Amino acid sequence: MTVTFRVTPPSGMDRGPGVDRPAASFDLQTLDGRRLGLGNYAGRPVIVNFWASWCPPCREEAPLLVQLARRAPQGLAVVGILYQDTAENAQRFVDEFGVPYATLLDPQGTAAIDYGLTGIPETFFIDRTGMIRAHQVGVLSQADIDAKLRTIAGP
Amino acid sequence: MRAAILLALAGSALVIAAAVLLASSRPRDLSARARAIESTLRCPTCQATSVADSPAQAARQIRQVVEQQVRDGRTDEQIRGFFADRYGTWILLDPPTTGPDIVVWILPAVVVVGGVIVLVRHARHARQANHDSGTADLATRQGGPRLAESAVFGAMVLALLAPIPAALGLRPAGAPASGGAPSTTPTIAQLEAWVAADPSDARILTQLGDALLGAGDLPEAASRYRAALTVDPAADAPKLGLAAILIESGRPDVAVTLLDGILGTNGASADALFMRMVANQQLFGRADARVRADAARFLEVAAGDDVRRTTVESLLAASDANQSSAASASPGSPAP
Repeated sequence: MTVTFRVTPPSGMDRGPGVDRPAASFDLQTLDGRRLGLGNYAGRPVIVNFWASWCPPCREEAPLLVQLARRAPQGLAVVGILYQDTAENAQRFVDEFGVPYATLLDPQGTAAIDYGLTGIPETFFIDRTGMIRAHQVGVLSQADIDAKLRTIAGP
Repeated sequence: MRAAILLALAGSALVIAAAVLLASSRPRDLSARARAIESTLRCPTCQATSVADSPAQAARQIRQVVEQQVRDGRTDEQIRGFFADRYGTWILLDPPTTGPDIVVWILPAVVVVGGVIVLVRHARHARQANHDSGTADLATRQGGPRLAESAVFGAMVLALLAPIPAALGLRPAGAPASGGAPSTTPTIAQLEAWVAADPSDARILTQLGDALLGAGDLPEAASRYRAALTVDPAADAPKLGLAAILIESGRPDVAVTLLDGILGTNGASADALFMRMVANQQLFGRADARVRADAARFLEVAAGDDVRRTTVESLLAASDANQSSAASASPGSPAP
């Protein structure tokens, strides 16, 4: 069964926020009550992954992101931003997959709006200078991760 | 004295009434403005629903942002621009008349112009064939189907003229959208200044190309699209603009090469499929296998409410009818 969580923008139209643009900054609360923003990762490549516990494709890609965050090649940071989900459900997901990276709450959807989200999962690959270099709409495969990681962290 | 008091009281009452009216009307005006802006934004997680009409949480969050920005005194265009910057102009239900979306506005014109060219060529060809044949019998056999074909095509062109602009919400430049915010688009002079400030911005170069194309300056428009492609060779929008110019200037063959490039990397681009179908139709006629293949593929990938569907379906139907009538009228004869 295929579950669709997104609306695909029509082809031929531009698609924000797009690559090669500065990543929108955010300053949000983590699941464990800290404040965290993009500025905390200055000088490091960052992967920002929007997800929710109710989204099956997010469950599908979670083990890959967990593995990647544990390896942390070239100082890579992975950050999850919760999309339309409760902190309780998100915590269960984090415990189930052993998510080692921060999960940020976005109750007003401001980060989702700033990143032009049309559904989940969506993942942004941000280089050391804070520029978005790649963008994944939909579930990530290992091949997607490998290819897009090269745009922000080198070979 | 009494009259003076009455006058003072009346004056005070007027001032109070005006103040009350102002105070009560202000939130209502702001709310109506927010609602009007929301009705021009697409709900990002729904299909074909405005932010104003969608119950989705994403739409609710966008409504909060719109209302806050209205309260902060931002203009309609600033607010729409805020969302277009984040989501792309796709988020605007009423696409702007600049940028890559110009394709949505100019395609009907390109199709009509192309249709008229084909119609004229068909008519000329039919007359020439009649003249050359020298026999009434042959004239009837060859000219008959061609004239019928021309008539069907002419009807198609006429049919195109009416529904597409209405369905797309096309309106004269500068006229406000119904129920929406009036849209102000950058002028050619503004865009030229922006390009001068940053000649490496492919998006602005493309917008300038679109604006010049809209103004009928095809050579300048083509030059800007080429500059955009020099900066960003992978961008599709300037290629679509160039393809439109090429079709309009009678070079559908070159347009096809460009569109092949777009479709090579994005085979599901409905815009490129539609334009290549138009270009190939000019080159080879509507019964050509390439035209029919692009038409069929377009129907597979285009959105369910894409108004060009009717055009493409008519083309396929006319092409079917033409094939069967040609087969029954003169079996074994070469295709026109």
